[in-house]
Formats: sequence, C-alpha cells, structure tokens
Amino acid sequence: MDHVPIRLDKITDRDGAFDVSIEGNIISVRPGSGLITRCSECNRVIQKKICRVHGLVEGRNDMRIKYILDDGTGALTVVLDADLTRKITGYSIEKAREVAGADMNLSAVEEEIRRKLMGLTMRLRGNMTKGEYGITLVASNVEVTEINPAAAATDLVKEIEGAGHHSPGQGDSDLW
Amino acid sequence: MVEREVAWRVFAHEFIHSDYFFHDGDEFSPNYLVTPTGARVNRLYFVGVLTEIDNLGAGEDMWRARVSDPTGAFSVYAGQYQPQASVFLSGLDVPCFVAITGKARTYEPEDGTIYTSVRPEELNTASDSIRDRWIVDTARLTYERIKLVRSAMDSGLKGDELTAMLVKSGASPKLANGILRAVSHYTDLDKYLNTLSGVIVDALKNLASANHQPTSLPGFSHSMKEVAGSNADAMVKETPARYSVEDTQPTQSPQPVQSTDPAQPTQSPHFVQSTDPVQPVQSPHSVQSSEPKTAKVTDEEIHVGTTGSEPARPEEDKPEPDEMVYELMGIMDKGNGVPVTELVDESKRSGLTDEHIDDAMKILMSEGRCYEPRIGVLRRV
Repeated sequence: MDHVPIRLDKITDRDGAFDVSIEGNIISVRPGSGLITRCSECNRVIQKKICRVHGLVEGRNDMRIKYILDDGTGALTVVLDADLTRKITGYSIEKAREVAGADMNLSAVEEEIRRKLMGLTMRLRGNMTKGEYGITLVASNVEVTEINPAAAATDLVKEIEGAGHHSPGQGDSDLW
Repeated sequence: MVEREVAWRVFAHEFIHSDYFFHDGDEFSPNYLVTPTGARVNRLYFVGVLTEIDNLGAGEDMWRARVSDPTGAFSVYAGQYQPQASVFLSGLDVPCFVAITGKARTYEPEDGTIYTSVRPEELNTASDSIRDRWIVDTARLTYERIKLVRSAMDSGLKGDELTAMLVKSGASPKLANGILRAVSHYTDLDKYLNTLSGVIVDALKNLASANHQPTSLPGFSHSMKEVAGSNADAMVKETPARYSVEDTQPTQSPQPVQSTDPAQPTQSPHFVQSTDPVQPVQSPHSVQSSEPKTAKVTDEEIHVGTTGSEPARPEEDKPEPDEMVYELMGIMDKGNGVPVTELVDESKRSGLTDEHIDDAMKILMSEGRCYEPRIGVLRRV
C-alpha cells in the first residue's frame, strides 16, 4: 500500500472518503468480532440462526473483525472481512471453528483475536462512510506496520532540538 | 451522529500535571481534562510497564494499578463498573507491559489538590516494540501540541481570533478549543512546556540509545531479556520499588520514574512464543475474558490499603450513560432482549434524560455492544 496515510482529524469531518489510507492503533476490538453467522437468504449477520427478516434460517459461517482504530487525532470503526482477518490474525474460518470447538464458543475466538490485535499499529486502505452510528471504514487492505524506534526517536530529537526557538529544559531536575 | 471520543496520547508527566477538569454540560455529559498542551482528554491511550497492582480493601471492588512510562506513572482504578478490567489486572504478574484505553478522571480530596487517574475501558498486555512505538507516537503528537501552544502564546491573540489562527496552523477545532482553555488556565505555562519538552527528549534519547530491535519475530521472552540487558547500564536513575509501601498516595508526590523498564523483569508467562507465522507476536491476555481468571497473586502483590494512608482515593464515580444503559440491558434481559420502551423507562428512573438515553443507545450500537434481534428490542452482544 503506497498511499501516504491521512491523519484521522483531517478526514473525520468529511462526510465520506473514497479509497483512503489511514494508520493508527487498534485500541479496542468490538464485541461480536471473530466467527459470525450470516443469514443464508439475505446475508445479514445474525445471532443464533435467527434473522430479523427471515426468522429461523440455515446460517453460514464467516469471519469479521470490527475494531476501533485511533491515531491520537481521531477514531473510527474499521471492518475487516474474512480474507483480511486471516491476513492479520492467521485465523481462517476453519481454524476459528476449531478454536470455538464443538459448543461453538464464539467468545473464545473473539478473545484470541483481541489478544493478538489490541495495541498493534496498522495501516489500512478502504472507503470511509459516516452513518447514524458513527464513522466506519470498510477495509480493502490492511497491514501491520512497524518502525525502527531508535531511528525514529533520534530523528524526532533532532527535530525538537533543532527547532531552537524555545530550548527544552536540559535534564531539568525540578520536575514539579 | 455520535462521534467517538478520540484517545489522546499524553505522557504520564503531562497527565499528572493537569488540573483543569470540566463537564461539557450536566453531570452525565462527558468530562474533559484539559492538559497544559491543550489536549481535551475524555479518553486516552497509553502503553507502559505495570509496576504495581493493589486491591484497595476487603469487600471493596476496587483495584489500583500503577503503569509507568518514561516520564512518570499513571494511576489506574478499576471499580465495580469495570469488572473485566479488575479481573484482568488481578491476574497479571508484575512487571509486564500493558496497553490501556481508558477515561480520564480526577478526584479532589479536601486539601484542594487535584489528582488525575484513569478508569480503564480496554486493556491488553503488550510488547516492548508496541511500547516503544507508543513513546515515539506520543512524543511526536505532544511536541506538535507544544508548538501550537507556544504559537498561541506568542501570537497575543485571544478568543475566536486565536481559534482561527490555530485551526489555520493545523489544529483540529477540538484541539484549538483545548489550547484556548489551557492558555488561560495554566500559569507558568512556558516554563512547564520547557520542562515537558526536556522530559520527552530524555525519553527519546533513552529509546535511541538502548539497542532495540523491532520485534518482528516470535519470542517475547528473549526480547524482554535483551531489553533488560541493554538497559542494565542505561540511564536508570531510579528503579521503581516493586510494591512500595509508602506509595499508597496518588502520584502527585514526586516519583519520577526514569527507567523505561524495571531492572529485573521477571520471566512473564505472557510473553510466550507465538506460533503464528503471519505477524508480530502476541499472545497477551486481554480484558473481556469470559471466564473469570483466578487471581494469581501472592501476599506480596496484594496488600490491603490501610484506610489511614489513603487520603485521596477516588470514590466510585458515577458511570457514564452508555455504561448505565448497558448495565440495565444486562439486568433486564430475561433471555429475549429488552424492549426499547422499557429500557428507556428504566433508564429515566435512573436519572437519565431522553437525550442521554438516545446517545447512549447510539454509542452502544455503534460500538457493537448491543444489537436489535427484533425491531424495538435490544440485546447485549
């Protein structure tokens, strides 16, 4: 993904954005992430095989993650489909079913995903929309990003000390 | 549309030095802590070293944790409305890296000082690379705010003119508002900004000098040791006492934690080799576990806070509207969800207005914490 990511405070006041790149921390994995069931008639996500519209149906399994991406300037909800879920967690539908076990313990899957993801920095690409319930980005691509902290720290120090106009306190022991 | 509060990135030093707290409306509306750099913090996110966990008194559902970053320590209090956070914290071995999203809280004991603390929403164990990244990100974001505040002070502008200038310089409207407030509230702000800059530069230099490798391979256990080794002769001016007895005071008392890692990290069971080939390592524990963890605590780790030495512990503060509605939903659900009308009635009896309830339901829906199994019925996920 070559797009340079946009800060969230710059795009969250727009009504929508097409094919944007954003980057931030996963600070919350929403309940209901992981193994889900979809109505075989209309594809809505259903709970326990009961569709709002179609009643009792044969559900089919799928994977989805909803999480909050926050870069310190703004936040939104990200939705990952099964392919992207597998890409960043390693969980396919089959593997998730194994974790859930015979009694379909969905929260075990959700828990695994939360443990793996919360705190990671990710870069995403997708379309952003504003709905009644908040801002959502349906991801078309996602990757975990890392930096070299020592190098980044050195660069930032240079920038701060280079700015010159106000010099940072030199090991100011009077911290209070 | 209800917009989610952003999780501000602030260092402990700045958080501790903030004493401007306001309600945006009535007692149930969001609270904001305005920091010296103009951050209007309702929610924050930080990664640090968990150095202490205490159970504050038998029969009290209150846990306190201290989480240190290179500039100071956050006090985290998990009470009866954060049961999962309590379970999570009580099951951890100290020290370990943790990542926490939470709400800013203040409490004012009689003596007039204001203590800041964090009420956790979501927690997870973290890696050294996640922690390092947080330091860099937070340093950058804080430094940007510092620059804007300085430009605000230098400009001599006030009110709408100042807001306009800040927005033009790249501040979001919320940050501009925060800076306006900070500049008029905080005294000796220029001096504090210099201090804060110095503290941040020290933290960055520490990071730059300890030979960290980005953790892109499984195996936290070795990277923890690696970090410990490289930090053995680093600028560790003060090793935080593991369970400091006198530290039952909230963190207003000067305890600058200079070390980024405890000198002797124990081999934490959380940093286990991940067999997952796909991406950097984690098998941390996170909150929201459905099975209660038995607290693996020793006598050392839990000490009952003696009432005498706890002058400034936050009282169980009121839950926010969305938490209240969420609680009610749980209580009222007999297995088939809760009719919205009944939920609204019950919420009103708890003191919430129509607007609060409406917003609360929207927040819960948008955060995926509840859904509509049938029209007019809500259910927790």
